[in-house]
Amino acid sequence: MSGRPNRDWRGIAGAAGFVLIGAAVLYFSKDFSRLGAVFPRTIGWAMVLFALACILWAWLRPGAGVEAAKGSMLRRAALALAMLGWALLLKVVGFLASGAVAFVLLMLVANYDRWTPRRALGYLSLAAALLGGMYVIFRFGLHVPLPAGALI
Amino acid sequence: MPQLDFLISAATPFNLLLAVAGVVAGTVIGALPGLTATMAVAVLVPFTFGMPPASGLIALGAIYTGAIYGGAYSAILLNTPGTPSAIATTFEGYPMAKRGDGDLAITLACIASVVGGLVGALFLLLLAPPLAAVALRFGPVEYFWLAIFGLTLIASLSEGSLLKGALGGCLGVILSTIGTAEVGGDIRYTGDFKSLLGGIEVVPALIGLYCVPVLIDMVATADPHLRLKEKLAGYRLGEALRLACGSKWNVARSSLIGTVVGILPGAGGSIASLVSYAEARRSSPRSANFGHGEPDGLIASESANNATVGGGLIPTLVLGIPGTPPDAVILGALMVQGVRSGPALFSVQSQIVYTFIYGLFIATILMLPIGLLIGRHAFRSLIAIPKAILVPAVAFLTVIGAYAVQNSENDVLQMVLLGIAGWGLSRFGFSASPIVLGLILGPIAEAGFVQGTLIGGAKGSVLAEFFTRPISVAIICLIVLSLFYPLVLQRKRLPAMRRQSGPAQ
Amino acid sequence: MNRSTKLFFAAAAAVALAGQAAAAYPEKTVNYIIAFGPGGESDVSARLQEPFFRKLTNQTVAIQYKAGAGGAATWSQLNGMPADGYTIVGTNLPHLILQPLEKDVGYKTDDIDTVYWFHYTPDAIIVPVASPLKTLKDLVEAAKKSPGTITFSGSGTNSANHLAQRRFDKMAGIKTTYVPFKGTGASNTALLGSQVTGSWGYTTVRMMLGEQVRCLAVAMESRHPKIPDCPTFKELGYDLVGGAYRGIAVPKSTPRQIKQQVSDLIGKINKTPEFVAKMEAAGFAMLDIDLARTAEFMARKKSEYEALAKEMGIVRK
Repeated sequence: MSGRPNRDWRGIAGAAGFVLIGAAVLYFSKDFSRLGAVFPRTIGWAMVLFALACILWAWLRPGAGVEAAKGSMLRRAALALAMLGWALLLKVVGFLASGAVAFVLLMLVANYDRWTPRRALGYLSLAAALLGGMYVIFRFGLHVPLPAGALI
Repeated sequence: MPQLDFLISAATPFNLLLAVAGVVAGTVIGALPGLTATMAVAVLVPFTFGMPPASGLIALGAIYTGAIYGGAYSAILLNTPGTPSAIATTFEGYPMAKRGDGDLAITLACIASVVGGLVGALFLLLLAPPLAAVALRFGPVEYFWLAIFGLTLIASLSEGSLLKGALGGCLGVILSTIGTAEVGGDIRYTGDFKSLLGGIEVVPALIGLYCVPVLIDMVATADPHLRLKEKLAGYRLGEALRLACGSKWNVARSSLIGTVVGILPGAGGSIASLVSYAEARRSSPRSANFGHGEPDGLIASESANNATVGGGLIPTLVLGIPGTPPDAVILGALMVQGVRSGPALFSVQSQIVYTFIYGLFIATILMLPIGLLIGRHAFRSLIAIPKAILVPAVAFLTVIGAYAVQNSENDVLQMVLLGIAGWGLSRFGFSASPIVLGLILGPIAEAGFVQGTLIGGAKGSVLAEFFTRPISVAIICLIVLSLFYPLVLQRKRLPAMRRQSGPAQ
Repeated sequence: MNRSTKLFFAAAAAVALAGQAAAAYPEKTVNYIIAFGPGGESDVSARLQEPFFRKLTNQTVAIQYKAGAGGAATWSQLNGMPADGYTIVGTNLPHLILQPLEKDVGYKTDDIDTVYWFHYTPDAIIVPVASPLKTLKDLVEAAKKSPGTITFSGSGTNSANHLAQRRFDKMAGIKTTYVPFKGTGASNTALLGSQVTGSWGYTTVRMMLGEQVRCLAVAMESRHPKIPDCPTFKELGYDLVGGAYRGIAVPKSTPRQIKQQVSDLIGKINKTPEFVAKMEAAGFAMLDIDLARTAEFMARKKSEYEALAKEMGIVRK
C-alpha cells in the first residue's frame, strides 16, 4: 500500500466538533430543573458517544468521505453574505429596500453570461416586476405585514 | 338514498368551482418554499365565512390537499420541501430531477398524491368513528416511542453513515430544546437572546437547512440547475402510470400508513411520509437504488402525505381534536360557523359532513388534471429560467416564507444562519434531513417522556408505564427491528457479494 | 374676513378634523395578532369577533398567529409594533402577570396596555363520561384516599389550568398530579383517551367535547347558562372563581384617543346580542372591562395573582 491511508478527515473533524457541542450542551444544562434537564442531558451524552464512535469508525475504516467542493468559493461566500445582510437589514430599512438591493446583488453573483445592456435591462425589469408583484400579493392578498423599516 | 343526495350537493357548480379554485390555490401556495399548508388554510378561512358551512369546508379541504401535493414541487426541483410533509420526497425526487427525470418525478408525485388522498378520504367516509377510538388509545408514552421510532429511522436512512445521521438527529433534537420548555418552564440554551425565547421555528429552519445550501451551490458553477433526459414532450404519463401500477403494493401500503399516522393527533405528514419511505425501502427489491432517484421512494412519500389529509380529519371531525396543524384551523373555522364536532356531527349534521367528504373526494380527483397541468408548467418554467433570475427569486421566496410564519424578522436571520451552517455541515458529511427531523420529533419525544413520567409516577411505576402498554410494546419492537434490519441485510448481502467477486479473483 | 368669522371657520375646521379623525378609525385593515397557535380559545374568540368587526366598520381584520414562549414572544415585542391602532394584540391573564414574576421573559406586566377585557373562560374540572367520579365530592374523597394518584391534564405549565389545580388542591387539602400538555387539543386528547383521570380545563372544553365528558364543577359566581347541570365551586363550598381572561392590547405609545376608539369598537362588538349568543354557545363567559376600568381591574388581579404565586412558590428571582 502506498502513502497514508485515505481517511475521512473531514468527518473526523466534524465529529470532533460534535463532541464539543455535546459537552457544551451538558455544561449549560446545570441550571435546569430536574424534569427540564433530563432530555437535554440524555441527548448531550448520546451526542458525545456517537461522535466518539464516529471518530473511531472513520479512523479504522479508510474511506474518502465527502469530496471537496467544486466551483467558485468566492461566489458562494458572496451569496451567503448577501443573504445575511438581507436578513439583518430587513428590520432596519424595510422589505422593499433591502429586497431590491439583495436581489440585484444576488443577480450579479449568480450570473455567468456576459452582461449586455439588453440583458441588464431585461433582468432588472423582471426583478422589479417580481419584487413588486410578490409585495402586493403578500401585503394585500395574504395580509402579511412586511417589515416597514426606515425606507419601505 | 341520502348518500347520493350528499354526493350531488357536493357536485353543485359552486362547490365544484370552490374545489378547483382551492386545489389550484393550495398547490401554488404549497409549492412555494416556506408557505405551508397551515398558512394556506388559515389565510383563506375568512373567505369561507360568507358561505354555507359545507361549501366552506370543501374549499378549505381542497386548499389543504392541494398544498400538501404542491410541497412536492420544490422538493423535487429545489431539494426544499415546500411543506414539512414533503421532506421524504426530497430523498428521491431531487436525485431524479438532477438525473434528468424531473418531469417524471412531478407526474409520479401527482398520481401518488391523488391515490393517497383518495384512500385517506375513503377511510374518513367509512370508518371515521372506530378509527377515532383507536387514535385515543395513543397516550403520551406511545407518542414518545413513536418519536423515538422516527429518530431511529432517520439514522438508518442516512446515506453512508449511520453515526453521522444519528449525530445530525441529536443536533436537531438539541435545537428543538432551545427556548422555553413546554413542560416545566425552564429557559434553555437561549444565551440570553430574547429572540430565542420562542425557540427555533421548524419552517424557517427547514427552508434554511434545505434551500440555502442549494442556492450556495447553484452560484458556484455555470452549469444549468437541472437538465432534461429526453426532450420535453408530454407528461411521461404513460411511463408514470406503469411505474405506479408496478408499485401498487407500495402505493396501498404507503397510503395506509399515511392514513393511520394522520389519525394520531399531533403526528402529521412529515412522520407519515418518513415511515412509509423507510418501509418502502426495506421491502423494495431495488433498495440499493434508494437515495439515487428510485421512483418507489417518491411514490411512498407522496401517497402517505396526502393520505394524512383524510386521516387527520377523522379525529378532527369525530372528537373535536385536530389531527394535524391545518386541521386545527379548520376546527376553529367550524366552531365559528357553529358546527359542533363530535359523533353528533355524523348523525345530526350529517348533511354538512358527508357533503364535505364527497367534496374532498371530488377535489382530490380534480387534483390529477390540475396537478399535471400546473406541474408541467412549473417544470418548464424552472428549466428555462436562467440562474441569474432563479437564484434571487428563490432566495426571495425563502426570505418571505421564513418571515411569514410568525411575521418575525428574527426567523429570517435564523433561516440564513442555519442555512449557512447546514452547508458547512454538509461539507463534513452531515446532511440536512436528520437535523430537521430531529427538530420536529424532539418536542414530541420530550413531551411524551415527561408526561409519561408524571403519569407513571402517579400510577406507581414509571417503568411499567413505558414498557408494558400494548401499543408501546409494538412500537418498541418496530424500533428494534429497524435498528437491526440494516445489519441483517448487510450479513445477507455479504455472502452474495463474495460469491459475485469470487470467480473474478 | 373679520376675526369672528375666522374663528368660526377655524373652529368648524377643527371640529370637522376631529370628527374626521374620530370617524375615520379604522380606515384600513387592522392586524389582529394572536399570541398562540391557531385553533385555541384566543383564536376562536377572535374569529367570532371578526364578522361583527367587519359589519360595524366595513374594514377587515387580518388575524395572524405569533406563537412562542406561551405568548411571551409576542408580548415582549408589542411595544415595538406600529402604534397607530392598526395593530392589536390579544392578551391573556394570568399569563401577563405570572410570566414576568417567574423569570425574565422580555416584558413587565405594566408594559402591556390592555384596552378592553372582553371575556373569560372559567376554570372547570372535566372527566370522561365513563369515569367512576360522578361528583366533585367523589374526586376529593378519591384524592384523599390515595394522594398523588389522581392525574389532571391541562394546557401549559404555570398557566391558568395549572394555577387552578394548585389552588383547589390547597383548598380541598388534597394532592393531585398535574400533567402539562402543549395546548388544549393535546390536553383534551389525553382526557378523552382516559390517559389521565380528568382535566383542568375550561367551560369551552366542556362545550367542545359535549357528550363525551362530564363537568364536575365550574369556577363561576353562578352556573353557566349553557351548562346548567354543572355546579359551581362556590355552591359546593369552595371559594374558587376565575379562569383565563382575554383582552385586546395596543402598543403603549398609542395616542389616548386611538386607544379609546379601539376600546369603544371592541365594546360595541361585545354588546351585540348575536355575538354574545355565539360566545356563550361556545362556552365563553362575557366581561366588559373597558379602557376606563382596566387599570383598576389589573390592579386587583395583580394583587390576587401575586399572592397566589408567592404561596405556590412560583416567584423566582
